[in-house]
Amino acid sequence: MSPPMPAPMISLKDVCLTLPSRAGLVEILRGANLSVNPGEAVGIVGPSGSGKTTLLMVIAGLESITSGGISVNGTILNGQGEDKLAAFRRDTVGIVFQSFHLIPTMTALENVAIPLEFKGRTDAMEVARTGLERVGLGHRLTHYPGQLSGGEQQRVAIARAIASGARIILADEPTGNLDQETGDQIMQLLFSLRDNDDVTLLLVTHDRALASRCDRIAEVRDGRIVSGNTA
Amino acid sequence: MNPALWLRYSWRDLRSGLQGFWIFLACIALGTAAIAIVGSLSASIQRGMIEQGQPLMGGDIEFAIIHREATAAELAYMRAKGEVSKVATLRAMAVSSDGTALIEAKAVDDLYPLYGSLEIEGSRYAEQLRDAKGILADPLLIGRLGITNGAKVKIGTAEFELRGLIAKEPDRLADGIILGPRVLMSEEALKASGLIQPGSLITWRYRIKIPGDPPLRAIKAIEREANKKFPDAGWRVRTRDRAAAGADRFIERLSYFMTLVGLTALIVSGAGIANAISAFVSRRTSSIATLKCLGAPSGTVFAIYLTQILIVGLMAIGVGLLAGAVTPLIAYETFRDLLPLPLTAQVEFRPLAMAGLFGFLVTLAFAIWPLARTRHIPASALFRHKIVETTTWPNVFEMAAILIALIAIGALAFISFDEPRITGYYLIGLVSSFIILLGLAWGIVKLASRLPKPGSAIWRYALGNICRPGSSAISVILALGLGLTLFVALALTDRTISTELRSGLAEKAPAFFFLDVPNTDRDKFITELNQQPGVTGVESAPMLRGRMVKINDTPVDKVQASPDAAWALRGDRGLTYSDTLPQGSALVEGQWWPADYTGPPLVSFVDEIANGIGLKIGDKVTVNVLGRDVTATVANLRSVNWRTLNINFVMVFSPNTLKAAPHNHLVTLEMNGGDESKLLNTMARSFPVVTAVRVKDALAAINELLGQMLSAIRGANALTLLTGVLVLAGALAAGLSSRVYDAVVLKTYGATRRQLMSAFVIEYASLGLAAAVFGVLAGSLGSWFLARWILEMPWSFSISTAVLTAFIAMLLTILGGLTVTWRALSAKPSTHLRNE
Repeated sequence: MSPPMPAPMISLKDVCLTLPSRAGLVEILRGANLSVNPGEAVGIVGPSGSGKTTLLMVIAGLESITSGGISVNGTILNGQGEDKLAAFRRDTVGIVFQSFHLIPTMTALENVAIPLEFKGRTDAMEVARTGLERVGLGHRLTHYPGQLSGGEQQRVAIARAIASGARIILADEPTGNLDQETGDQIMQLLFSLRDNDDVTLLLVTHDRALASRCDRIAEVRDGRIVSGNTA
Repeated sequence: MNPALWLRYSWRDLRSGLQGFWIFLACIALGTAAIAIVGSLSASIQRGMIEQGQPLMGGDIEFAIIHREATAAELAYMRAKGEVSKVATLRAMAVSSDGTALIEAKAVDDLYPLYGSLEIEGSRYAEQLRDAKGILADPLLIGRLGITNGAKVKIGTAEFELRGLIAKEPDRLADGIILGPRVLMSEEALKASGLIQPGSLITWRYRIKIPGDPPLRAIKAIEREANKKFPDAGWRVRTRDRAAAGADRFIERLSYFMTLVGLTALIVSGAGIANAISAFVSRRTSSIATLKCLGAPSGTVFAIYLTQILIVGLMAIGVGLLAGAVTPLIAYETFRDLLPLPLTAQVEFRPLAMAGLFGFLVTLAFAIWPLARTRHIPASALFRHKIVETTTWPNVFEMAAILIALIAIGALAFISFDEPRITGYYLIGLVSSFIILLGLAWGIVKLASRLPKPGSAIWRYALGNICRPGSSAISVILALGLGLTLFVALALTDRTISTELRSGLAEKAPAFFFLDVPNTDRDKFITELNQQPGVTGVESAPMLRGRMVKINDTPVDKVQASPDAAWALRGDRGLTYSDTLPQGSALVEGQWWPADYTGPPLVSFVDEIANGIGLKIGDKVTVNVLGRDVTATVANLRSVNWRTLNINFVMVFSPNTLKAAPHNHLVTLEMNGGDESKLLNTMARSFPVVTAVRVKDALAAINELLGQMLSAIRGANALTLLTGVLVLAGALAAGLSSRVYDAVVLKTYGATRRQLMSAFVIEYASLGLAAAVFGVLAGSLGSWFLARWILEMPWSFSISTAVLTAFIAMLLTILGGLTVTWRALSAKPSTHLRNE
């Protein structure tokens, strides 16, 4: 008898998203289905405008879906209020962007401490320091984003994503703004998190070679996942 | 609620400096400083007047009576209250061998001054005045009469020796406008001069020094008791807190006017505050979205940025308050010897608190709406940066906060200013201006979006700039419209005062007024006057002084009068009688009494004053003349052209009412050519008790006051201009980044700088024109309001002044706008495209 299948960490069922525009309604997701197990790394690929980034946004609770069902780490995201979604992101999801999106007026340490501080943790700074040391930036704690290289900024962003103990990392083209060597280092860091911390990783990328390093590849076309939608 | 977190995040954002906050800071600091400076200065002077009330007035309480001295009973009452000093003031002529001059004579007793000290060059004044042969004078008299100290001077019918020069007269300010140099003499000297005649215009002042320095309320109680005990005395009572009632009122009006301008500038700069914060939120879009991505609730993000704005706002308010706090100290050190006002060198906390509160409320009222955008910036803005909505409505709590702040501003204005009706009109005008301007701006944006697309790309781009999402058209029209309104209003007010200064005189105005021409000498005086070379006309009228005490059965202090008529109820007025309608008058309502009328007393009133105090034909007016109440029925109303300066009075009585009372005559003289000085000399020597007032000199004294007001207006104009420039700079800066982006893209695809500049000129000129039309209309209305309700003088309008002011201001602002935009045009596409 095989062991029971774990509940999926991420589950999308017939997810549709329609956004209004001046030219009329635009259907961005048209019944996307995806199931991702805990600790799994999934590469999401597809042509520009196919809906990859939007997929990431609905999983992060940044965009409300028009129809379908979405559950992340046991939380049903449909119909949740904005503040509940903010708390969900703070506790469950870490996001890594192509453009890093660090707050320029805060030091590396302060940037990493943000989700912890919003959580009300009194040890926010200590935890943030540990996080930065873990990504190899223990010597850059008081540096502002403008004083860091691209690779260092992305490492700060990753430290921030995992600082509050997020179980899921959503990475949108995390190496898109980096050279090959730095990009490789960042990916190594992300995969080591999956391996050591059992973090679930969703990686949006144009780079098929990079995607192939994941456990599986899900391909998005015209708002649907056309392949690799199940583990 | 986690204020510590809000403060921590605000501090982190501010730590890098105040870049991007300078316009915001300047707008609040300037407006708050204007209110704080005016308020502090005014409070400092008022404090000085209260603290130095005793020396300024020369007593704790003063009873002033015209034409007669106090009765034995009145004097006994005063003496029972304390030490009484008697002072008589009058205008007279001083004659020397070389000249004549109008003087302000003051006869004093040995107790003068009860408070403070009179400073003269030489020994004590009492010794020099005791023998009734000496006088002391303002050094000005030496120049006017061409004499030296020790010279003989004739005043009235007696000759006196000038024994010393006055260096400082403690109660000078209490006497209001004076037309000639002060001359001090003893009461015996005044009696010897022959100037005390029945009906002479002498004010007898009885000042009391009350033992034990009692509090003001005890002195007020004496005032009430005296008025109750002697209801027919006809005296004017002043207590030490109203030592310089005339100067006090002038300062009060001026500070009221300046504070309104300051408050308007602060509220106008609210538009600048809103724009600056809007630009700030745009710059922080990425940070806001990042915070939300990391789990910050919208309310927390809003609270963080509101905290930050309030911290910067409080810094700006602090700068404004600092300016206000040091003003009395600087004014005291710099002007205490130059200004005839009792300045005090201390920080005035009440006006500072008011200014600070105004600054805080304006910041709050104008910051919340643009900050509400932080709630609407979605975390997804990090993915779809360019499509974030730019216009959002505040939620119900934010809207309530804005409304509460606005209502609090209104309430504070009502608390700060004594006149609720004027404040009410002012606030209605201000709110209407905002609403109309916003409506106008919205209409223009809608119109631009609905107009058919022009064939020319330049025109298409210009129109597109006005109506595109995130366009700064509304903020530019609001900023420019409010600035131009204020500027036109002040330019027209400047004109109103200048006109009052220049054209106070009609072409055929008299050259002299002769006061106190005795009844017995009137015919002789007029005959001699007519023989003088250059004399073209002489007019005379009987004249007494009296004050209105009741309208029907209502005491005058309870009568509700319009601001332009209220003066007639204050203090003493000239009264006359006549059996015919006076020259320069026209009957408007009712009938003139017959020449031989002998019935109950009748009175004719000037129509604008009667209307202002609510008098109708048939109403009864009680006037106190020579200590006796006279009640007359209003028989008719007449219109008067005061600017001719011909003899005219607000009240003209039927002859049987006043003819029997002792009185003198007022004579006016018109001249064409001839030597005024020579005529003055001749008449002063022939009729020593007659006082001549040269109209030019009297107007010069009044014009000096108006000139000070004009300087204040010009100061306010400079403040407005600065505010307008700041607000407009803020509005333009808010849209600069998108302009740079557009310019870069358009240049990349071949647009020349000239083409882009043409489009900007079309855009700014359309917005400027709309704002200018509004500015001319609203500014004209504003200046009318200021003239009628605050300055209480005839409004002088000139379409060319209004249009030219608006046009020049508009041109300057457009040039300013283009200068800012030039940066956008000069941007190198390659640099920007590489960074995008």
